[in-house]
Amino acid sequence: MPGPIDATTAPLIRVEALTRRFPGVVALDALTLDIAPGIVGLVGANGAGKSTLLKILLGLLAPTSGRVEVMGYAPWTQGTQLRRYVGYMPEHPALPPDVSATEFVAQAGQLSGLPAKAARERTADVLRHVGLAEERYRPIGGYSTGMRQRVQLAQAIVHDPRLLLLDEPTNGLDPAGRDEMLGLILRTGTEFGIAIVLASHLLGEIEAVCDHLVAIDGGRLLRAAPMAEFTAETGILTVEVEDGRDTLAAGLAGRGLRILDGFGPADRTVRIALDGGVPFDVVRDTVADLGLPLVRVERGRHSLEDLFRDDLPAASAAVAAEAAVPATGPTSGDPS
Amino acid sequence: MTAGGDRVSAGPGPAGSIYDIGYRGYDGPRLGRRHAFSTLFVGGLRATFGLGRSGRAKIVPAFCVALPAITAVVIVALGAFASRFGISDLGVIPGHPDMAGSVGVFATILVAVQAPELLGRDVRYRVLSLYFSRALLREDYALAKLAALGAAVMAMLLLPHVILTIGAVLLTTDVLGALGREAGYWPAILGSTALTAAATAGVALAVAAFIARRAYATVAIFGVFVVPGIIAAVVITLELGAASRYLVLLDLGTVLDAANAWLFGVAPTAGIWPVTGLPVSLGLVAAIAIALGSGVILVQRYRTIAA
Repeated sequence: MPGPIDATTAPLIRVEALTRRFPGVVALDALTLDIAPGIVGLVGANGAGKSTLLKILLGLLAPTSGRVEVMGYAPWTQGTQLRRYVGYMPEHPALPPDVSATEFVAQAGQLSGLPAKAARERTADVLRHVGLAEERYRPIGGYSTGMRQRVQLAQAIVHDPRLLLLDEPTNGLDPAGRDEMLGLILRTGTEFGIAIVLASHLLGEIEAVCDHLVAIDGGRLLRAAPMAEFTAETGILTVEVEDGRDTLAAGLAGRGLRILDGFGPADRTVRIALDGGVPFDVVRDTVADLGLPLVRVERGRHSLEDLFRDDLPAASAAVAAEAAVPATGPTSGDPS
Repeated sequence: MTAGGDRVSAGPGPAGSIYDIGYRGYDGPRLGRRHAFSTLFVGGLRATFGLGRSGRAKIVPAFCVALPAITAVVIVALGAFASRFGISDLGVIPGHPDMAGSVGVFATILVAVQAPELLGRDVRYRVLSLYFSRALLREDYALAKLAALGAAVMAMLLLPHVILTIGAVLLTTDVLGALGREAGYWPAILGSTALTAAATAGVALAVAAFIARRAYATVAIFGVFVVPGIIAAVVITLELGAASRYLVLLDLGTVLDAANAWLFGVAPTAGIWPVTGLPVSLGLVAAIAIALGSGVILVQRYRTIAA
């Protein structure tokens, strides 16, 4: 049986004016977004609405209003058909202690629609892929946190889903376990060809594995764009000197460059707003002429943290435009 | 149905590791809710009897299956002795209509111990969110558990009847006559065991659905099976008015006994039912209502339970 839709012609996930209210709180507030196949990071602070969105995409929660479509299915009304093609890893441990990984994952495969024999075969496959060896025949109760997380990933991919929803998949892992889990996720998305939506509040994680990013805050879309745009070069050139910062600023301003306000008396950097080309030559000549001890010249880059900075009005103002046209260039580097 | 498809990744690449022999996609059939339901049903049935679990998990089910069967074997043996010594009045030896009263307590024990096992674990370890994210509905989960426990109880209750029937046929010279007599019992046997199974499994699961801790749930289930009977007995004995006798309808054991009596066309054997003077047909109605009502409570609980 072929997949439900041709992934090349329609977006994987389409969300339109989606609102979900709980008593006393609006978890999702008129959220509109399209998600294309790939590894998509869903980022936001705790309580931003990530888990609510994932549960609605799975058809486990009904939207209060708005429209949702996942691979052509309406999750709330066609959940059982849709979920044959979706894998889900919840943010909390969800494994029974008294059965073995083999038994549990095989049952999970059958519950997702695999015939018994295929479920057993694929269980052996995916447990090998996540790196569980002989211990897979022992009861899960004796596993380490890292092993349990691998089982949780295995149960999510045992039925070869087209879409994998991961909710904080590195919860509770130590740094080494975290790196291994991220490596597995990256492989699942690239080698196995399974589209992934990875919800996390850890920006570093998202940056490491995702190629697209959706940022939500307070149930609203903050920004959705390819990862490259979030870490693109900014319109700022930073020049750091050992001392003589003000002298340098005056010198550069004298040569026609626009100098941005400093960060205070202890600041040793001059930040130049770039209006067109990058004036490396001018900076070099000015520093040389003034005889200043140069430390570095660096082209500024956006960091994901910029998204959640309150002091950047540009970020929230740009939301509507960015969401509608995800292919726009990087935001302006105006550092108000 | 073949696993392994067109999406075969390359062998060990830059991201590959030592166990990497490539990922195989799945292009075989993807079944739906019915398959998921029967998977949960079979799993629940195995769990109820402790199959695939530790030896400790098998103790109670084995006890609950073996003792009714042994009871039936003893009855058959008694009948054989009785006929050898020429005692033709088989009325003193229990038969099919009496089995519900004799072995019903084992059904109570089985559901009180295994209903929390079937439901509590998935709540306590939050496994429900992994079940509900699959090709089934919350209702399917609850009903599959009910079907599994109900089928287990029914099988356990049918076994002694099967033994009685086999004994009756083997220990007689008039095989055809015995077969005819036994066949006459079987509609009532099937009705009585099915009703007992549905009501006891339903009530036990409906209670267990609200109590995740296994030990507390077991105590609560025994309470629901025992306490209403005590209250009804006390109130009815005190003769606190004509309406008080309807309290007996809350006592599942007595109600099932009355339903069994109606199905077999005999008098209710035990308890306070005869004292109340209510018709046994009311017991049948009450038993069906309890079975259906507990099923509705169970399904409603699972529609909203946190996962």
